[in-house]
Amino acid sequence: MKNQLLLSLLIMLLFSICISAQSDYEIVQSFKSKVQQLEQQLSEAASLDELNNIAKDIELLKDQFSESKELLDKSLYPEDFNKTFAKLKSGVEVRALDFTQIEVLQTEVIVLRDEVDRLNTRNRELINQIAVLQADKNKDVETIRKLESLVTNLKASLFKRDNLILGIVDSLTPQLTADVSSLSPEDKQKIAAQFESNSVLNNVKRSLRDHVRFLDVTTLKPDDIKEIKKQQDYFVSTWQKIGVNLVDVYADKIEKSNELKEIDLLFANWQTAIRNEAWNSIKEEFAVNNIFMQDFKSGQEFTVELTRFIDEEFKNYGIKSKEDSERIYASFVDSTWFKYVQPEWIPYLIDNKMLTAQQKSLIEAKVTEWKNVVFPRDITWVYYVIAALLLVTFLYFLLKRKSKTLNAKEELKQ
Amino acid sequence: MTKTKILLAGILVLLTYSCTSLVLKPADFSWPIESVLKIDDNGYAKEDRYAFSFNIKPLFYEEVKDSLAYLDREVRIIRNTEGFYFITCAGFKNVYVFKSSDGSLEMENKIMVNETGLTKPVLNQRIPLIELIDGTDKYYLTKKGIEEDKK
Repeated sequence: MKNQLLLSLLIMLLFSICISAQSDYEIVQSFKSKVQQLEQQLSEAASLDELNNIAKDIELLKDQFSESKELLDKSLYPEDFNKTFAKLKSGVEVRALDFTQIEVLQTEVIVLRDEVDRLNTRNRELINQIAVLQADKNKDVETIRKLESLVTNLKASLFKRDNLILGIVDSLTPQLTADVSSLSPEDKQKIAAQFESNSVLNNVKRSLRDHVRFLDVTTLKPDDIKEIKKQQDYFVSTWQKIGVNLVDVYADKIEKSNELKEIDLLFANWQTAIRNEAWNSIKEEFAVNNIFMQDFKSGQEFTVELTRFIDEEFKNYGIKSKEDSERIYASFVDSTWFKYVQPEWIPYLIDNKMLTAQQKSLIEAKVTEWKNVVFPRDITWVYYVIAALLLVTFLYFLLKRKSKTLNAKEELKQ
Repeated sequence: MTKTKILLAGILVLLTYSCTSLVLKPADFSWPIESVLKIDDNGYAKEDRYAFSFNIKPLFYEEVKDSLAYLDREVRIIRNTEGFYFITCAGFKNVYVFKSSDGSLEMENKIMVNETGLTKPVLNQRIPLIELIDGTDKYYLTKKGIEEDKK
């Protein structure tokens, strides 16, 4: 203990000798340089531990230069000795707050990342189960119920994962919403590293592919598609804000820039898949009632295909049996068109500008025309009325003639 | 006649008294530390903190008889409490003492310090003196010269 005290005294003595033989200018310059060094270390500190060490160095510097306080007070204009250390300490506090926030956000990211991983596995399983059930041609009530339940779960799960991914992005990079072009290359590098370590781009890509795959394996109702479209709009708008800045962050990384382009493409695919899902679901509605039509992917193709199908039925009318024609008409018009397509899908198609009012009128006119062919207006009753009138007339004249004959015979008898 | 002389003398004393300029004192012109000034290509030394500059070429001519010797050199300058500037440079034998004048620095004194030239001089403010350290040697200066008893 005594030795340590002596050693400390010796060091202090040497230091003071050193200072006393030094130029005042050198002391001030040395102090300024050390303060600058500490400020630099503060801005570059990467952990709370590192920050604590810097705080200790600041205290050490204060002790070392306390003997020159008077000189420094005069020379550090417009600062002074105490102000300089107050500034450094405030720098430590600000950075410490940053690290506390970063630690909270990092913990949040870890939790979110685990949840995303869990949902990735779950979604994959659900998609596979749905695909198996969809492939089953002979679905019973139980299978359909199970399928519907799986689709509902998967949809909720996909939405949840989207929100988690956006949550990760949000937690990782609050600064990404600011002007990225003003960030230093080191800061950009940090953001890029955080994105990579949390597989953000991969998760976004996986999510988009799963959405497309979900649409592939399911047949949805307009309300489901509306919900998916709403989710897509939210995902797209949020990603666009981040994506633009990420392009800047990854400007000098060709591989990552390509990944961002791939994500843009996947978003476009998802959008196309949603549009196609509506057409496929309509086609599926007809197929359920054994009306098999060719693919259609637009309002124009839809109109052409429906009118083509009806025209074919016109041609075959009289060739096929009347029962067959009526059965196809009933399946098409009554069980599909008036039951599902017209009330559920047509408003969706028109709202989303996938079908024009003109095209809708064209199809409706065709359906009416078809009805007139299959079920022509019944005028048999007119014939019955005419026949009845003729019969009444005939009977009238017959009775009249008979009575005349009877009268003549009576007259002869008399 | 004597009365007239006394009267004239009285008027003279009164006039002298009324013409005396206003003096603010005490005043402290001391800089806490020396400034180390890099000389630019045109031979000017510029002090940023106190915002003044001056042509240093005549000083180098005075010291080394070469007005181009200033190139790539640094001069050290400090001002004492009385407002005199002490200027020297590595290789100089002297410390020059200047006072400010109308748009110029006017030499007050030239203090010989080392016949072989200073190697690494530094100037410190040690009110009321200026301390000159050159290696292990220390000198204490006033505008008049070296304070021998302090050396």
